[in-house]
Order: sequence, then C-alpha cells, then structure tokens
Amino acid sequence: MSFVTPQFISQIPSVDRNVADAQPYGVVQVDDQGVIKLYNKWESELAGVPISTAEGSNFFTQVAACTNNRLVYGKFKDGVARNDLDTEFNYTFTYKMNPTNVRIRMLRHAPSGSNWVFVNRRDA
Amino acid sequence: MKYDLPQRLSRIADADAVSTDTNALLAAVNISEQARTMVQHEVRYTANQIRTLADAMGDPEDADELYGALASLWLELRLQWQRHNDVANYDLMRHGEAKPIDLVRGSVSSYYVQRIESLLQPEQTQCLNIKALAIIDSLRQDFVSPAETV
Repeated sequence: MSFVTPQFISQIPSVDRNVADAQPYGVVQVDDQGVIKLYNKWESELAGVPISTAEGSNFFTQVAACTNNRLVYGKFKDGVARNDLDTEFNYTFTYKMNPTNVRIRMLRHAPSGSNWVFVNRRDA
Repeated sequence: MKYDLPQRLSRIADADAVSTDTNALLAAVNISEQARTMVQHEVRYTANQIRTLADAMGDPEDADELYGALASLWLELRLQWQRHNDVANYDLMRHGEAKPIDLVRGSVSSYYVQRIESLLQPEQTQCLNIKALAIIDSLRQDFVSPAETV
C-alpha cells in the first residue's frame, strides 16, 4: 500500500502549497522536463534545500542529484513520453547527507498532464 | 586580499575534523568492523591527497593552478559519488538492499564535495555542477555498449 493516500491523489492537480506542506512526506510537482513547480516543506527539510532555491531548478539533475540515473530519471522520462507513470520503489539518498533510506512514488496525472514525485523515509 | 587558499584547503582536510564527521556518517548505517576500517582508511587517504595538493601549490603565484586542481578534485569526487550512488541503488533495486559500505562511501565522497564547495564562490560551484552534468550526460549517450546498438 502506498504511503500517498488515495484522498491526496484525488486532489491532484489542484494541490496548493498549503495542502502540500500539510503532508508528512515530500511532495514535489515537476514539469515534463523535471523542473520543479512546487516543493513542499518536508522535502525541503529532508534535502536541506530551500524552497526558493529548489523551485525553478531541475529536480533530477540539480536538486536531487541522487536520482539522475536510469532508475529514477529514466523511469520518469519514459513515463512522461508514454503519458503513463505511476511507480513506487525503495531508494537511498547519500548526496551531502547521511545515508537515508526512502520510498519514492512518481505519478503522472494524465488528465492535467501534471507530474508528481513523493518521497518518504523508510526503515532499512 | 591575502592569498590563503592553501591554508583553507588544508583545513577542510583536517584529520581530526574529518574523522569526527566520518564517524557520524558511519553511525547512520549498520556496518561491519572490516568495512568501517576500510572506509576510515579511504577517508584518510583522500584527506592526505587534499593536504598534499595544498602543500604542493602553496605560493600566491600558484593560485590559478591550485584553483584548477581544486576543480579537478571536485569533479573527481563528484563522479566518484555518482558511481557509489548508482552501485548502491542498483543493488537495492536488483537485490532488495544496498551494501552499507557503498552508502557510506557515497556520503563520504559528497561530504568532501561539500567541503571543497565551501572554498568556492556560488557561481564557481554552479559552473562545476553544470560541467559535471554535461560530462555524465554525454558519456551516457556516447558510450552505449555495441551490443545495445545492434
């Protein structure tokens, strides 16, 4: 079962900053190239990246460099190209931080063409 | 302005500080004693390389050369981190878990990346990141294995 609730998913694409910041996990909205449009407080604190720095930067290459590979960015690009993306998997972050185990869900909301990356901590 | 890059470079590789910070990284994972010793050895080796660099180019007339060498070192460690990150996450994806030593090695490489960035201007760091991404992307595109192109 996903850590992102169906109730939250049902609010996409009209998730605003207040709703995103109220979630107990990372909420990141990106465009088709991966440029961040919305970056919530939880994700900002996990990554140590200010919201103002993150928004407008590329999530996969500039903000979460750990995800710049076929496992994550590749899946994202494939999903966007197919207009079909909903995948969840375990991952680890190590860039400028202690090794951190996370679970990532990437979702494309086809009707609106909006893309979402959700990140939560997990036990090893 | 006084030229003190060599001194500042030596300070970021201070053995005591680096050792303390490494122990904090090691504490984040469940790692064997043998792997712990190996990581500590690698950390000391890198710190020694940095101090050697600082000592070798300690005069003000060496500044351009030292900045260039520092950029190369940043790139070396950034690419090293990329490799550790990929190894750990491919292991996780394929086998369900990443080896603790690869996770710590990743954190250590990026720890040094961050320490070096503390000596640079933001625009220098941005320039290095852009160049690193360009290298990684172009290598991915240019070095497709022959089997995949058939």
